[in-house]
Amino acid sequence: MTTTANGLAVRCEELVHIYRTGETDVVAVRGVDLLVAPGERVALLGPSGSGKSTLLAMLGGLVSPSAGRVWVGDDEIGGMSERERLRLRANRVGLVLQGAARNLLQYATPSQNVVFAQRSAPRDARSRLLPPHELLGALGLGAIADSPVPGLSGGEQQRVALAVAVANAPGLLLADEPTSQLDHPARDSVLDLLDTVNDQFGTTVVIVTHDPEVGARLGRTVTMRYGRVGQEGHQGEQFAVVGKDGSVHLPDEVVAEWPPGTQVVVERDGDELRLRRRQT
Amino acid sequence: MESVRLALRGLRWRTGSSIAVLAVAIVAMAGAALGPLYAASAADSLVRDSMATSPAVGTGVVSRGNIAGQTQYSPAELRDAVAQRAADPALDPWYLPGSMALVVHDGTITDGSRLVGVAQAGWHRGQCDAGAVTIVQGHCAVEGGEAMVSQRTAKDMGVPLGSVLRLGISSDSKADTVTVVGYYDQASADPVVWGLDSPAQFAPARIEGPPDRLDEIVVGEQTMLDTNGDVAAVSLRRIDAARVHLADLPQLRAAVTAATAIDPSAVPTGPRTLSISGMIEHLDGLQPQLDSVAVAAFAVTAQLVLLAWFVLFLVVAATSDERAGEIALAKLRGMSRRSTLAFGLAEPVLLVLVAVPVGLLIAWAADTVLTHSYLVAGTAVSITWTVVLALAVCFLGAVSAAALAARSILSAPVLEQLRRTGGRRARLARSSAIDAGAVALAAAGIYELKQGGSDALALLAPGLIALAVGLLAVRLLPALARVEVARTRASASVASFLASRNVARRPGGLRIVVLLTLAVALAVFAVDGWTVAAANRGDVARAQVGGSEVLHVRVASPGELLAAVDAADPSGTQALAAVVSDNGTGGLIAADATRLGVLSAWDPAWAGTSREAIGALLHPPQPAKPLVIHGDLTLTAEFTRTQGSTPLTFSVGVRSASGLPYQAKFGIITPGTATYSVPLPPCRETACTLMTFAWTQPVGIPASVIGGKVVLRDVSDAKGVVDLTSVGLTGWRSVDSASPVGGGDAAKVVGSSDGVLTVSIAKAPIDDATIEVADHPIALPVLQGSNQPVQDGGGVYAVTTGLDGGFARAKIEGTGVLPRLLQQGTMADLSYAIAASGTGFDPLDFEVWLSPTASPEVRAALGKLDVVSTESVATTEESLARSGPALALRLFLLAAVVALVLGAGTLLANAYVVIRRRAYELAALRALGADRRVLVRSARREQVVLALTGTLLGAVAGLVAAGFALEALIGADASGLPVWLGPAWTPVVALLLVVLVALVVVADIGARRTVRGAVPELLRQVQE
Repeated sequence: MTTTANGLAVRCEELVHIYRTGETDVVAVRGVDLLVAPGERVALLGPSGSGKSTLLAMLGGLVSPSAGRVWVGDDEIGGMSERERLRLRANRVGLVLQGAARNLLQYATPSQNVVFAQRSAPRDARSRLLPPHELLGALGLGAIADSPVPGLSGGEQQRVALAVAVANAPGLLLADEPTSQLDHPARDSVLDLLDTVNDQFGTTVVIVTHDPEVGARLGRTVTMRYGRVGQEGHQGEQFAVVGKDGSVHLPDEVVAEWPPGTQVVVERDGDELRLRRRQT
Repeated sequence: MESVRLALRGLRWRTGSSIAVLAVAIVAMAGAALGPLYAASAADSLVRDSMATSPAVGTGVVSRGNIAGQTQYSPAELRDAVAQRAADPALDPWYLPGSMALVVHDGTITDGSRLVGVAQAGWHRGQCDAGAVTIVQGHCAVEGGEAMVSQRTAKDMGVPLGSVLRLGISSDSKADTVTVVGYYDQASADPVVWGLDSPAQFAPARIEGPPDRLDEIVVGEQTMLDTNGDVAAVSLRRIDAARVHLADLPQLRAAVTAATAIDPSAVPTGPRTLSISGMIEHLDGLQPQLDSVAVAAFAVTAQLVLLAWFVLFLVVAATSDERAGEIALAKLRGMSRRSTLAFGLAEPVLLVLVAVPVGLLIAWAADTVLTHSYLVAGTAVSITWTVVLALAVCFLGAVSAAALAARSILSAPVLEQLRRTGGRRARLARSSAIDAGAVALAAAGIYELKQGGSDALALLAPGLIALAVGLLAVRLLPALARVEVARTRASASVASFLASRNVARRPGGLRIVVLLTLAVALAVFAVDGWTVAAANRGDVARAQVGGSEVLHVRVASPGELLAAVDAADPSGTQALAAVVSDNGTGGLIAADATRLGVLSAWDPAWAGTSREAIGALLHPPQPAKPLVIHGDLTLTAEFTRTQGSTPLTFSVGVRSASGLPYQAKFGIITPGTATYSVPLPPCRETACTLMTFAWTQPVGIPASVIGGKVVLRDVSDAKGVVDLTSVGLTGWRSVDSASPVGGGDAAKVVGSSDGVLTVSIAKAPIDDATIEVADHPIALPVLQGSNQPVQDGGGVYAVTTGLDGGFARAKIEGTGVLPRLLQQGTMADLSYAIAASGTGFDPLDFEVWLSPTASPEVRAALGKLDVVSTESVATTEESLARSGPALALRLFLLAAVVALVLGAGTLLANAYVVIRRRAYELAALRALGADRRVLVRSARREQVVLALTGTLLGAVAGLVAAGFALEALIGADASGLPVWLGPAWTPVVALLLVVLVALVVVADIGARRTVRGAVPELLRQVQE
């Protein structure tokens, strides 16, 4: 695995996560293979319960995979100890959880939140970090750097949360639903900030979203369904992804017409595959 | 610094809960510090009180030397040697400069050929200084050959100014002769100048004849220096109670031990002197009281620290719990465990750090107020190592509580932690172990108490019992609540359902039950214990003092006392005469029994009788009224002598108004009719009572059997006819027939009519033939102290030691606790005790007991007596309340107040901290349309259930603890009085009502605040 100057690559192989609810085991992620290049911007799309937030948590070291492997940069993080994961989040991976308020100390200003986040960076690395006001200024938040957090709008809080997440100049920024509950201007501001982070710092950006427009804005989308990667989109064009077991997710409109259990005939013609429903 | 700033911002952000936690932490710290602070003050007060109230001779250092045996030295050399010994600089920190006196005891004072009396002659350094003694006439004795006598001596003995007296202290007549130059008031002598001896030394002779002991003859120093008698030089250094503190005791003990040590190997370089002191014994006697305070202080401090720690754990852990999201944020940012822990601890530690000095300051202020209000003036309020230790334990407890709470947050994965899952089984196991430990300790404490122990574990028992009850209760409460959930699920009472559901889920609020159980139990135990102990102290005071108020007076005789009190209070309802004799056999108290039932503070029931019965019991009616004689007696006696009988001496016995008996002889009674007269000097100024007529064999005449008959008639005194037959035939009896050793009726009244008394005499050799007026019982009716051994008189009666120090026949009417003497000694009626005296009286303490309603007129009339000192039930109760056990119980009372404040404070803080988390749940219910009033009712009901449960369990635990512990704490009183062990329902119920009202108010405030904060908008912050 290689990295650019700032961005970190991400690679998942056969990633599985199972958690227990009561007496039931739930498979949240089942055999995900994913490759994100350094400096790339990726949106994880999919319906609720499709496993995208769980995948993001595994990339951030918050949740351990039940099976499979996951690399961030050159480090396989699935087998990391808690201490190593903390170190990972301290200086290599920035994480924004769903809900801006949860990511900020409400009683501290944005700049103080940045200072708080930078306390986790190794001492020798702190001098290389952008000072809080400089960082916030670079991200267009200089005007509110010393304002009380509760007085900020939802969009501003979300942008501050993203700024805090990149306070330690991580190579990978993970954000869960950074644009939810925001109006369009606020959403665009958040996306602009993500662009800035990606452009200026070269940071790899992976976000979870429900919003296809947001996905389109990031350039690459990974759509998850039932814990699997079903589709990928590049520059607006959608591609089904062939799984290791040879499975392919059909588009929703096809599934609507061909319900589960429908038998199809697969016909190959060069680079093309044709599916023909069995006539009964 | 940035961390502190951030923590301060966080505290400001959570202003409500921060203030609540800070307030509870401050109270907890103050409570933990107050116990040892007050204990140190109480111990200091005990020391100072004992120093201030003990007689100077008990705590002072007496240095003395005698010229006897070392006549090679002069009185001046002896004086200087004693002064040098007394001026030991090691004693200076606590002792006043010494007095100095040169005295010669028991000089026979004569005025020319007239014997004036026996007296001590003495010179006291500073005797002529202002305030040393009041000179009522003339001037002070300064020069050699000058003397002062007391105004009492001057008046009673007729010593005019200018009289020349021989002191009887020197064989050199010049040195022995003094001129009276002044009279002094014997009651005004300053003890600082006079040292050990008061000049008021008057004591009447025990029998008629010998001279009285006079007050001191105060002479000039030169007179004492010139005498060649047995001069003693005496110096007393009094303890200065204002300068003695608890911390001084080791050095004080060492200094006194060194000062009074006798070195047999030391070679004297001048007159031999020695120093003695009762200080060491005094300190040894004080130690048990100090120990009782120390043990109670440990128990109270331990319980308060336990309570404080519990409270701090509760609120600090809750605060940390509330900050779980922020601590998770630190982990999200990748902070190391150490940094995250520091971040998590910063806020609570800051609060607790502030609470330590503020709590200490509050405790110090409270202790200052308590000390000023209840303890001896000048008692030190000092911060001892135990105070520091208590605060340190609390501080560490609070920090460890925060650390434990933070640790559980640290160890959980961020997302799991946000879901608040896991660890329940481990917590349950841990809490079960704590429960079992508390129950085991409580059982051990109860066992100790049942074994009669009163050590630390036994004193901790109340707290342990309460803790065990509380911990077990929170196991049961959720189960009961689940039953209630099932019952209310389908009912219309949503509030009840919600409240019982929250209780059933065993939220952190259940810990409030444990806290309240502990707090209320301590409060109930303390209030019950204090009330019970106060009531018992009141009984002890009433028994110790006897009357509601007691005047100690100086009178010449018990008869005078009886007459003076009768004159001052003819009604017999306001004042009572009593005397106490320390006769070496437990003592004798003789009080006017006819008034005891009406005005004694002592309860006759303590001696097995009653107020109604005691008068008749100790003062039963007699066959005869006293026969009163005024002046000399004359009578006609017709004596018919049996053939061969020898002559007989005829005498009469009277008792003077003072109570002293007086015998006078008519002379040899001759056969036939003759008139006899006898001078009775004691009866000339004040009336006497006729006691006996006796016929005895004259000395020198050989013993033989005699007999005959005597007819007495025409009896008269200075006021006229005395009718001997007025008392009837039964009003006379033979003294012999009353003898415990039997004997025949040597003299017997066989006829009594029309003023003619006929006596038959038939006596064996040596026996006296005596008849007496039956105006007093043959055997003195007495009550005996329950520990007083019965003295067998060898016959039908027991014997007791009378007012004269001799044996008197006694009839024991009951046993129990007596006034003043408690379980020792004997109690009798005063007039009968006087009548039972055959000679003069032992030294007596003359007392007048006053009822609480004694009128100013009666007090004014009694004020004419020479009142030496007064005491009362109230002052004795105050004194007892300053004793070690009482101070120990006051500590428990203090603990109760702190516990209650902590309990209420924590309940309120809980509303701000713990319940706040429930605001999200309530917000969801409101979003679903639940009525706000229903939610308030639900929250209030839940809090009230918790408060009520804690209060009731605490009340039960407190009463159970009191039932076990009070007997060990207060049951070991030496008075022997029946000990009341409660429960003191009235104050306990009043306390519980106050507590309940306070808790309901607090619960209401908490419920309203919680629901007010539970707005649906809150839910927007909670998105998973």
